[in-house]
Amino acid sequence: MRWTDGRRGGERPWPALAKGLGPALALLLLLLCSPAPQAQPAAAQERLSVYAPRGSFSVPLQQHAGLDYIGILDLLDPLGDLSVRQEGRKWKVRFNGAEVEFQDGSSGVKVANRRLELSSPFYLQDGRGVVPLASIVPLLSPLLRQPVDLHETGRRLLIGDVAVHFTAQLTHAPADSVVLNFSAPVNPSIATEPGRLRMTFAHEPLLHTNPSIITFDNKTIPSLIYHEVEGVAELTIDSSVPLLARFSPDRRTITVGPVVEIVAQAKPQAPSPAPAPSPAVPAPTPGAPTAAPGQQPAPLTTPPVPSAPPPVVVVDASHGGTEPGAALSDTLAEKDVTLGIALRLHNDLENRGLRTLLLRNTDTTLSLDQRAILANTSHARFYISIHAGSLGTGVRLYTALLPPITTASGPFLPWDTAQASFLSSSQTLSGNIASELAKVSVATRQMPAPLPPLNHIAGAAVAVEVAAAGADVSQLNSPAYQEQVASAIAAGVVRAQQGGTP
Amino acid sequence: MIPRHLKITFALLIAAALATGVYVWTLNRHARQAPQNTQLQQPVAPPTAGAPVTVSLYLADDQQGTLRRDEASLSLPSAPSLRAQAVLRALIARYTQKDSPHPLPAGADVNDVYVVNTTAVVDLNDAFASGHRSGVMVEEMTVLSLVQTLAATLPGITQVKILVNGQERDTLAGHADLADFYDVATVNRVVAQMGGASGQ
Repeated sequence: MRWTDGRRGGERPWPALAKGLGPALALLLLLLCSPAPQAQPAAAQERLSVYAPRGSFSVPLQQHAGLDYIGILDLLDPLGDLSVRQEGRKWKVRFNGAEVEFQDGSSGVKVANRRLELSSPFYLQDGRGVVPLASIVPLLSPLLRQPVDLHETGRRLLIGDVAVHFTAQLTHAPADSVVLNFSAPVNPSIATEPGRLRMTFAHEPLLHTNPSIITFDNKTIPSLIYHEVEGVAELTIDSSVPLLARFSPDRRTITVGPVVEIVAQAKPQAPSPAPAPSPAVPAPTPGAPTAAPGQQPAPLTTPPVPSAPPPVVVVDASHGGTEPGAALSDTLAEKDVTLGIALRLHNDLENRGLRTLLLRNTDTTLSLDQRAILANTSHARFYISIHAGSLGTGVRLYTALLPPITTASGPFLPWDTAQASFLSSSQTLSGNIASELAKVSVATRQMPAPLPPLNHIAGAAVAVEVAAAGADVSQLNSPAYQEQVASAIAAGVVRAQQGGTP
Repeated sequence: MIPRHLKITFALLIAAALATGVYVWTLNRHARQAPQNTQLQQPVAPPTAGAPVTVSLYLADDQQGTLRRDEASLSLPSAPSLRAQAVLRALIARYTQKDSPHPLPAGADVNDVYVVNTTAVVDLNDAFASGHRSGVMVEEMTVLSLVQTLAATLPGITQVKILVNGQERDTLAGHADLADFYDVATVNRVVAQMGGASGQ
């Protein structure tokens, strides 16, 4: 790129000394007058997500006279061979052999010897050209020789045949669920909130034509909404019950349904665990609102009608999504370690014949209350929350930090102290897990902790904080170590389920 | 033609301005590069009169995984909330010292302590929570240390609530519960249990 400066040229009648010191004086004044350099908070900047056959990227947008503009170099550079030269007010771009000529302040553009009129003028900013976002399609189409699809309000640009399409179908067997089939593998982030489940597709060029609202003639799952916002596509599924999403192995199908039904579908051939009375269920505390022996505790929220036996164990990979947990090292987040261990624990428990509900199997945001609601409405007997820490070594097992119950609270369990009636069974579970960890020479420690959502769980509940066996924190990410810990925890749960004592 | 003496004066002025500019820039750079003086950011107890009294501080030890009772001699005000605030500041000052067995972030402090009947409400500042290390054990040790020290200072309280900058918060740094009240008797039982537990 060649830079020219039209302001140079004329001689100024300054004395020789002043002429030499002029720039130095200006620099000095600048130094003295400018404030101390400080990190300026980055202003929230809108970006355009670009999906192309060569890959996906995003480009910052800027405002000019109330209109959205985009840097032409930022946009074209990842898409092909690019060179630029400036001749006065003219700015010439050569892209994949075709030449485009812009002029600063003019809306006329020459694209491959054809004249094109932009919706508003082209501008040069610090040697970089910006064009109105609204004119991107007519500008790019002749250069790329591919279909260009701009979704201006959703801040998305699709180039070529990259779109991922989907179909949504409501199934009723064994329970009301929505089956989403995608034309390519997808990996959305999933967030749940009361009454809805939201899937955000930031990396996939998901596209759906009208209608953007798909309605199902169903009370449990009445509708699915597709919309695009701030460079991503979102699918929102409304429901009257807590929902869970389950991925097919090839990640082309996502089944969204009520929690209990999804768990039942996860292992349709698995034998149902015998609902025999278990010593893990605590003895009734005088005055305490406990379930009768052999029965599950009363739910804290309205549960879906189960069509299959409930899971025996709920495995909760703590943190996730926008909540990373502790930074175990510069590159290792707690949420990733907890997910790794939880996935292994889920498999180990299933292989041992225990029906298991994994609260998240991907990088999903779940609130503490959502975790408790999902665990309680599943009616599982055991709840295991997985954490990871960089402090100390071995595994720490936590039960709820609650005062003993002294008064009756009627037929319902109070949300804040739902765990109080199950503390004894929680401590039994913790002891069994500690025994199995000791068998594989993993140091353990058991203690109560003020760790949500343990207090809200209506069942035997233990939180497991896994630290490295030695000084090397990276061991937490080791598949072998994760499997060793997960396998011992699974053995401890089985032992508790069979009535074992620590 | 500019007279020679004016040229010399002008040159001297420029040189002086340049030297001042370089000096200011150097000072500015040193100020930014100098490590923050943590001593200055330690909480300072309000000035009090009267004879010093001995108070109990329950100090967390990350390596041992225990709370250790220690004593400090402080001149304390008579009002319970100010007494509690002074003792908690003394506790936090221990944690913000160099080589603390349970480091807290620089600038950590207690904004206020309120005592209502048998309930104490501790209002921590934002630096305390936002800079706190994340983890079940490390957060639990901090909370138990605060509650147990407070209970030792104000023997009549039965429960403690912790706020951050006057606001309720779910957790301290992602783990330890700040949404609920802490039952002093339960914390006392756990601290006793921790003291007897073997460290890792």
